[in-house]
Amino acid sequence: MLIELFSYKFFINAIIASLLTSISCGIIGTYIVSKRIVFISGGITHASFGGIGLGYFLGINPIIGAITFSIMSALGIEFMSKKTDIREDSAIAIMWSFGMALGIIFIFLTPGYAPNLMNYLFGNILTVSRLDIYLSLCLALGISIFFILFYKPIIYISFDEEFSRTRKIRVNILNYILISFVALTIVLSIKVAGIILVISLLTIPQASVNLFFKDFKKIIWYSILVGFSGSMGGLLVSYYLDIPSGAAIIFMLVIIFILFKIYSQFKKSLSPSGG
Amino acid sequence: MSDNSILLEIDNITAGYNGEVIIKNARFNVFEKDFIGVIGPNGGGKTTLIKTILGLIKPFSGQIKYYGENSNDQLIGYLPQVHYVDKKFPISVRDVVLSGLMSKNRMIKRFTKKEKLKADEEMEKMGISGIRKKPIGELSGGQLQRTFLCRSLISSPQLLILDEPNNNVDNKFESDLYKILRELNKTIAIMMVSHDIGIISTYIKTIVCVNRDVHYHQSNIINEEQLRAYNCPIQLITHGEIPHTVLKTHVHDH
Repeated sequence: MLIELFSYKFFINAIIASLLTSISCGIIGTYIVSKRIVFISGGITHASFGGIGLGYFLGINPIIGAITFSIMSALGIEFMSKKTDIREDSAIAIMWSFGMALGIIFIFLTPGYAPNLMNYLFGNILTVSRLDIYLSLCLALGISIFFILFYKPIIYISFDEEFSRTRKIRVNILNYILISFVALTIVLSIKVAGIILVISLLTIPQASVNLFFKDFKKIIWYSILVGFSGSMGGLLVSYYLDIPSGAAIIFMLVIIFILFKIYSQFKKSLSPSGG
Repeated sequence: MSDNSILLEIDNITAGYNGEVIIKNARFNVFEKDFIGVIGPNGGGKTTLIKTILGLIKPFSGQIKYYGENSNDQLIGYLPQVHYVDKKFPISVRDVVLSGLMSKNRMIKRFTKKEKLKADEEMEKMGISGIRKKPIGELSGGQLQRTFLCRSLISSPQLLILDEPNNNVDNKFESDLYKILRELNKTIAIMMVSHDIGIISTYIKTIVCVNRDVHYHQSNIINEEQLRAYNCPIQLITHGEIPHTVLKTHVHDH
């Protein structure tokens, strides 16, 4: 029965898509969790809904609209919070709700109904297209190469931006590039978990791994592993129980987190002196 | 001091944030092997002065001239206030120390064997080589400060700037710090912001009072009247037998 699943093209696509998404989310998630910018990522996610609405309105691929909106909102938040005196969390809230509002208006103005709207909101990994896979592949490669080349300045800036500035590292340009990668990762993961749930793909694996490892590189590697296992588990559960795949994946990830948490508590209680 | 050569010339600096002037009329030189104590009330602009010197803030007017042998970005080592860093960030002691070697022109290049040895050497000197693989979240305040001190020294700066290094640390580190600073001061200049200026008065050579206006006091003895003249109402930490003296010189050698 399991073997039979692999004969379906859509299922193979779903596996490839989860692997690529796990790689991008593993790396970018570790960055946003370590730097504590999860809330920014939430803002970018919801702002991208404006682009999805615009896509429907103009009759183009909603993902193209979402990419545009998410990058613009990411750069906008970075710029507003650094160069103006608007507080960062307020800037995020403005982008967050403005994007959602635009999305709703555009979809309302689009004649007829919006096909697949639910897939964007809640995710459906079984509907990934060949284009989605190519885009995810490019992104996973781009992020991997960028992080391999600039690994050191990335963690130094994330850890202590001000000190990095005194060393004359090009902080601003790196921050703009990184936040753009965050935006792209979010948009290309929307197919997996949907706008409402996607942030958990970028945070639950990291939070789970962080219970045991305090090293940036290790958190990346194991988060990719945890993310991919959770996606596979969720995919199978969604197939056998016939429930939405996005929610099933997130559910699996939370189960993994809880198991890890129990295990780490158990380990701690066994060695009270070891810390 | 005047026989030493100039490292930094702070030439009539006015600076602040968002168009609001915080400090003005800052005009003094930093010489080789100087030891400057920066004092002043909270909110008076001590940190603004330091950030301007570090190039983190562009001054509204005036300029800072850098003269050291090292290139601009290697001239100054910086020890920030310890409490603002995120202790949960997943980074090891050794990586923090090595981060002091970053510069504008080396974003990609790997660290050489020599540089890694230098890092080990600095950590050895500071007594933290035993914890070099530990994540910073597991360190005490004193260990964290030692780590940051290594980070600021690994680039062999000619001027070390410290922002309230004695905040949130244990007494052991504090007394060690002054020993370390005195040793360092034999070869490099030091500029230190401190509330607890009384204790370090032994090591200070000159004083900068910052309370909006910036006054340079070319001695390590200062009294209340002088502080009043500088409009610098800091809390007096009298110690020793002369009550009106804030900072007492210790002429004897320890």
